[in-house]
Amino acid sequence: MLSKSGLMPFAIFMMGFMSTITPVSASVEYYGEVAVDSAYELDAGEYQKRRLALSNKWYASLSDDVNAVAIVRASYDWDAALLNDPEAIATYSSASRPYYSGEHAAVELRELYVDWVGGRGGLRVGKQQVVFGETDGIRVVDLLNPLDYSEFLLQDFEEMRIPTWMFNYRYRFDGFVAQFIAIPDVTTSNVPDGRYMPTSPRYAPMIAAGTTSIDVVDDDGVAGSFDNGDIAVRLRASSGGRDISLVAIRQYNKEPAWLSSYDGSGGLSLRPVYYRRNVFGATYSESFGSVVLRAEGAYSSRQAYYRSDPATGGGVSFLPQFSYGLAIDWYGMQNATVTAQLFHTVRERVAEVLVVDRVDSTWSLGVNKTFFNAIYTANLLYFENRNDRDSMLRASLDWDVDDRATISAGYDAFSGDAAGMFGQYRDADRVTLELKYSF
Amino acid sequence: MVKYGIVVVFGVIVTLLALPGHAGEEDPRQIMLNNEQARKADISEVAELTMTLVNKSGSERVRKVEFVLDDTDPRLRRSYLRFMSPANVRGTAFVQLEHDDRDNDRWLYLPALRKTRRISGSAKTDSFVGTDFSFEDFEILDGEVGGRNYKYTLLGEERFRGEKCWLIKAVPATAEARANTGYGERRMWVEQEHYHVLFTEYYDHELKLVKQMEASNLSLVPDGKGGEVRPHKLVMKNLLTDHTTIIEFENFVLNKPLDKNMFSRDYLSRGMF
Repeated sequence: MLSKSGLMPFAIFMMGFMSTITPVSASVEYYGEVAVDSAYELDAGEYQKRRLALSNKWYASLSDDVNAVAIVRASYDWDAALLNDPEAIATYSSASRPYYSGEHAAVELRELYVDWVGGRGGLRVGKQQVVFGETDGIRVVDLLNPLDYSEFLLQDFEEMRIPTWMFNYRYRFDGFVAQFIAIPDVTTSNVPDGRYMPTSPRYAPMIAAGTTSIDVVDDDGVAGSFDNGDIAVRLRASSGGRDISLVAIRQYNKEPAWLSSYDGSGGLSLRPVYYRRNVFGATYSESFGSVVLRAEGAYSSRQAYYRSDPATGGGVSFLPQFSYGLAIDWYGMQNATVTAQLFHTVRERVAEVLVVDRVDSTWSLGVNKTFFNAIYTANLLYFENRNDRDSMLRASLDWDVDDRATISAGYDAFSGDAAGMFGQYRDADRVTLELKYSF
Repeated sequence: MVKYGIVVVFGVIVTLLALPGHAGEEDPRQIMLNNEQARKADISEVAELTMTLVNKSGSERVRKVEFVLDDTDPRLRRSYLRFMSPANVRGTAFVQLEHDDRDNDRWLYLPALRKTRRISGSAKTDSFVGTDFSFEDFEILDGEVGGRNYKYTLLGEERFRGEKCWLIKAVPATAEARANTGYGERRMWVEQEHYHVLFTEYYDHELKLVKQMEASNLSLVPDGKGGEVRPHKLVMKNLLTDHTTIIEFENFVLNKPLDKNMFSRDYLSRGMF
């Protein structure tokens, strides 16, 4: 299994590395968290999820320079509406796959890594999340980890990101830090066929008129081998009140493109395709008084776009694209942050008609405010795509009952054209309630 | 005989001037400069803080924080904080680099985002992680650098908790300082033996008393310059909300060698738990 997933080199490295550690006296701390998490759809008048989750976190100090972290989560969802037949999901590598028992229960090794820090270097090896980028909500440079889209963008990003097995090495030079990441784990994003299955032509291929049957080839992700892994390099510096980074990534795209093949008699076959791409990007942040500017931009050598005519070219065009995001945080209100963001994606001009415009524009506005010594936190977030005129609104109120317990209530609403990224879920408005207890 | 008398008088004067103590220290600005020296080590200050937040009904929330200050620059401090507990804030970390020619650098690592984010270096009045202390309260306000923004007046001498103190009033001295600070005035009781502030009254811009802070448990700190004492307990009371924050310093050590890289965005981005 390990060799199929390309993780044998990782296993060999870990065994060799661990043998060099001379434990002084390992100390292990354990933290647990129980969460009851529910979402109720207003239009359908039914629960979308009622989930009980137990998260277990271990932090071990193995020596003066070496620490280890393990996070395991077990969950049970009474409604199982977010994923249909999760045991059939094949996009995880064998070493990253959660264990599903039926449609309701899952156990997942979320993260497991060893941290070594020595002199100017630092190495983190194992199953982990690595986050690039400065903006929030729309991925420009934050591309290393695949995502779990079973709740679209409604989960916390820490929960959405699927940790993968990586070698993550950083070295501090005078004035900048270089980071090198190798990801032999070929896990791709989980695009669900449950409640948040995408129906927008942005994410699902058009079906030609006259189609009488559709055969969908199983999505088995990227073939597991070390050669199919991803690599990334980041150079980062902070100076004169500014933070700058340069990023280069060579990776397989994490979400498949579905190629259409018509047999001439109304039959359609949809086959998922993953493709290599090179991404070159940069990030920037600077503070100006009570305002902080955050920005990131990236050029991708290939990105798949569906065509309006699915019968030509497999219904997909692979084009280079340039995208960027700008964020302004305003700290002018006491104990509050107001953030405005703007995202643009620009595609190459081509002859074929795509389902998306050549320039795509999305903006967002968010407010975060704490009350009564941060016992209450109110969050409001609004996203709107200017091309499809669709939007998403998220509102929540968190209450820190005491040092261990938090209650969160929220409301998520979608509106606009059903062809849009947000509007495709316009019938999925929901209210949420979550109780967390830490121990 | 007269010559002998002049020499004696001259010698007494010189001796008095040379004595450490209060000669020439009715100058309130000099008192605050001495206070800055009393609050700083040569290299570093390291402690574990227990922050207890108490609301008006007596309910408590407790945070444990790892706290490191780099004092190698006598004028400008670098600080690092990392929350150790409770679990819902564990791993949250903060770095501040003070500057005298521009806004401070501030970065915040949020475990939930797995990101380090630059935050405003000039937002001084916001509550520091839900406590009754603002960012302004944690900065070096009254030293060589910060003291340029304040006008100090010695109001007299009083006793506080039996200790002889100077009572000093500080008001913003410039329009910019007035705009940036949350306080129209501060009154500080500076004890005369070690120059530590034992009690502070904070007034808003309408000169309404809004907060009070008491420093206590002055005791020797290991590895100081011999006889260096620090308050080991700070109690900040917000009179408007009747909420109190108690900070207790444990395992307080001075001049421990530091990894300078700790005061950087990259260090925070490692996301250590």
